[in-house]
Amino acid sequence: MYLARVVGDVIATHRHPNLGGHKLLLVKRLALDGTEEGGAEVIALDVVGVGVGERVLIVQEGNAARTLFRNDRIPVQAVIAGVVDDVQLHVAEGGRAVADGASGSTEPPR
Amino acid sequence: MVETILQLARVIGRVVATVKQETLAGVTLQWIQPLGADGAMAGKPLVAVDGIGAGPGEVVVYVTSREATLTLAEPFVAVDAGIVARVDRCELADGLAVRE
Repeated sequence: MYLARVVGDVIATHRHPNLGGHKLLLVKRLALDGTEEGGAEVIALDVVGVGVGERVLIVQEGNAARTLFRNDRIPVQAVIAGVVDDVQLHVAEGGRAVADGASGSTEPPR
Repeated sequence: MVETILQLARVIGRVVATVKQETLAGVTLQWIQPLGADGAMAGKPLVAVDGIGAGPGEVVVYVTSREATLTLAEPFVAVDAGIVARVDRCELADGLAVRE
């Protein structure tokens, strides 16, 4: 799984029947410091009802997706598994241990 | 972790292959060009099976690896990319991107 931000959504009315009516969201993977990583956006199916701009947890594997939807015919590989409220890092960038108890939160600038 | 996954692409052509493995009999093979949500090309073109009837030039969503077989009636076929939806439009947080 990885951290990502919802950056948009895909409106697609003409779909494969196995895909169902789930919302298709565009997400961008986030690095540890909360900044967006390069590379093309990923399309993930929304299970929890998130909006654009929210930080989410992506599970990116077909079998996990089929388990989540309890449907072994759904042609999907990435699913939004949850909304992330906060991420607490115990190890600073570069592996230096963070002082006890002072785990730095990576709440990105709003 | 799977490298390319559910992605956007534009249908850029069709592949006609009369002699092929029988599980692909009667299956439409489309040439597609992967796109980022901004519409820019993202990676090399590839051939995907088309179970929904996407037209030339249309933007589609496709899936790869094992999940591609789920876009065909017969699940045990040797395919690694399958079209799952035709995109009406993509709305990005900072304005519209790929339009139909």
